[in-house]
Amino acid sequence: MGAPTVKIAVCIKRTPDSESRFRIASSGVAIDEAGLKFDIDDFAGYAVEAALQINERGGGGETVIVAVGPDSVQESLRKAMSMGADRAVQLKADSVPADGLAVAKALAAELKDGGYDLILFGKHAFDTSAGVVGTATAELLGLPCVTAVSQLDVANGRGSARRELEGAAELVEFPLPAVVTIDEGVARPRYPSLKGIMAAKKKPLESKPAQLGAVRVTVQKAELPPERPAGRIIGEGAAAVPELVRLLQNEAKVL
Amino acid sequence: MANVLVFAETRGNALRKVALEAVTAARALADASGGGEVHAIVAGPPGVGAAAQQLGAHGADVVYVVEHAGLSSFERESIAATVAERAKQGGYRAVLLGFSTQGRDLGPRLAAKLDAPIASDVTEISVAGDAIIAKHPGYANKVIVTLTLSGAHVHAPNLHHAACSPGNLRTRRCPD
Repeated sequence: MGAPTVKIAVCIKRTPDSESRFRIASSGVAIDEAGLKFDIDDFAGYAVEAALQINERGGGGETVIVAVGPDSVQESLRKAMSMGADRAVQLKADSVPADGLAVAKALAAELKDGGYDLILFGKHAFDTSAGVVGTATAELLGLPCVTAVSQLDVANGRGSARRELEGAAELVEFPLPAVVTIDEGVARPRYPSLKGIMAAKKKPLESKPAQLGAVRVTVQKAELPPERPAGRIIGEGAAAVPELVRLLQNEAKVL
Repeated sequence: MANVLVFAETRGNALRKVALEAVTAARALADASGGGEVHAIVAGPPGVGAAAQQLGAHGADVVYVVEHAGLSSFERESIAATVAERAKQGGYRAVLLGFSTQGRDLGPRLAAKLDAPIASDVTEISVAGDAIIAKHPGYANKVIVTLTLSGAHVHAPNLHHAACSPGNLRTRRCPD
């Protein structure tokens, strides 16, 4: 027997490219998805890479990718498998609700009897920046949760991690099973190889209904922030100061 | 009329600014829902209770003080359990806390423990009947999203939870 292998679930979200220019859909409660490029959310991508590296170092184990969402999420699940994950589970829903606790309930229902040693999430997703789902899933499963981890390792049935805090870092150790949310810094997600892409086509992707329960947080309105007015040049050097002071006092009202 | 609970974040024995922002937001929320009370909970090592006066000055009607030598650093699991217990006993309409490192950790734990809908990084909060309306910036501030938190059912407490974004809500001192 070699080192004990680790079974890892990585919960991912599919989000639009953060560099996009967004428009509001005619419904008024969502963004217009036409023309947007979607992919595995950045932090979730780091989580996939972290899982793959842990299992490569351990020389075995299993990496399972899980996502809540409509069938479009299958493309992201397939991509994670082309990076090297072993299989994937889609928890099917018409859309990913704004209710983070409902999503956590669906994930917890799927993960609770899965025998996972580690459950990874991105620290938050670009679209909501809420960071609710990972920690809430841990709480629902009664597992320890370590958030915003920039280095992660597993040895002898225990995890060790480095956390980035406001102006400090924390090194923690924790028992497994555990939930960990991943910050950038863990490792750059690899690009799928051609071989990986071909292999992913044959890997199992299971689809089943998401057990979301009652969805109690809904989007009432989505709107673009007010446009920032263009910059203005009011003069040069010391000569501009009186006008600048006048504008700061009378227009910006900050003095 | 509904009461609102605030987790008042501390570092060392001092209140953090987000605690005062959350109390200020809670005061406005309680007043808008027909004159409820604002209860704050502060948890830390012995001596942390001195923060109660300042919380009162910013709008708290009642301050629960939990002092224990083991709470000199942010003991997330103990604090989550303590705040959740108070929230369950108090039957609050909402639990507010800052969207800080502590708040980001504590908020989802509380939401799960209380089975309460949660909104994060909230810049504006208001009441609409039994629901709570929370505005937050999404998509890296490129889209402003207004959320409705609702769904009280018969045997569950009508509990909502919102984390308030630091820096956007202003603190206010109440007149004596």
